[in-house]
Amino acid sequence: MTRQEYMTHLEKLLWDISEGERQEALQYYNDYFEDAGEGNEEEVIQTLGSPIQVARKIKAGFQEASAEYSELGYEDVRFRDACEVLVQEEMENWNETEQSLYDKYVRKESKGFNGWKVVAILLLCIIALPVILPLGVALVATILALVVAAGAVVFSMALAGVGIGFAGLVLLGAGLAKLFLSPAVGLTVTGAGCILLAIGLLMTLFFLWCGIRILPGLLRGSVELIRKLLGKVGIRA
Amino acid sequence: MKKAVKMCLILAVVLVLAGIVAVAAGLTMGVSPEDLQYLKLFGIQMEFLP
Repeated sequence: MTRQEYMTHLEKLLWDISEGERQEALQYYNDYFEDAGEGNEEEVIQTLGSPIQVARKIKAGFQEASAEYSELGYEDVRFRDACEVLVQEEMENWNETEQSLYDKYVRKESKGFNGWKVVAILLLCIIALPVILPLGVALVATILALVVAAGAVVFSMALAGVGIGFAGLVLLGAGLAKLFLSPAVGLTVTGAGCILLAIGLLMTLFFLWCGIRILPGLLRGSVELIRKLLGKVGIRA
Repeated sequence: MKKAVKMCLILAVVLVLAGIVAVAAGLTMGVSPEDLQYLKLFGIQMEFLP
């Protein structure tokens, strides 16, 4: 449908209103088409709806005697007034909320910003730093030293187990060598070697297990502890 | 890994039992003064032996 056809159709549909009102309505829609431009006629027709719909709206508006044409198009004054009231209320509410937030912010700022307080806190930090920093470092070093000491104990005990096992092996060899010359001594030494070998084996296994299972947990725990302590004093890694 | 640990534990138990039996047998058989001298070379105190 072209603009000409649309307007002709609309004019025919508005036969039952006064000449002046019809001309006013047609003028309005003509202007609307003009403003949109020649290339956009199809879009305008789609936006406005069918001529029947437009005619129905116009007639309804004139019957209520409360409609008018404005920059926003054809609109009912009653609805426009209601909308204006709503918008006004919203604006008032918004203004109140905004004002209260602003007041709160200003109060907070005036309460929070105190030059002397900031200077005092800075001074306190500067004075306390030589005490707090070494204490913190000492605490962290102590925790790490304990973990390292535990690791060293476990490692040395595992090595001691290896040593005992090795001594057991030597005794076992010596006992077996002596077995044929002096069975009593040979048996005793072989037995002692076996027992030492078993003890060494068990010690090595136990402390290796400690090293594998307990030490990583201990290390993780100490790192968590240090992180918590640092977090409490406000230092983030 | 678990199997190896299990085997080591069994070996240790067997070694302990064998050691106890061997030591008991050796002490039961008696140790001569030369033998005692030999044991001293290993640093083992055998004064309690007959």
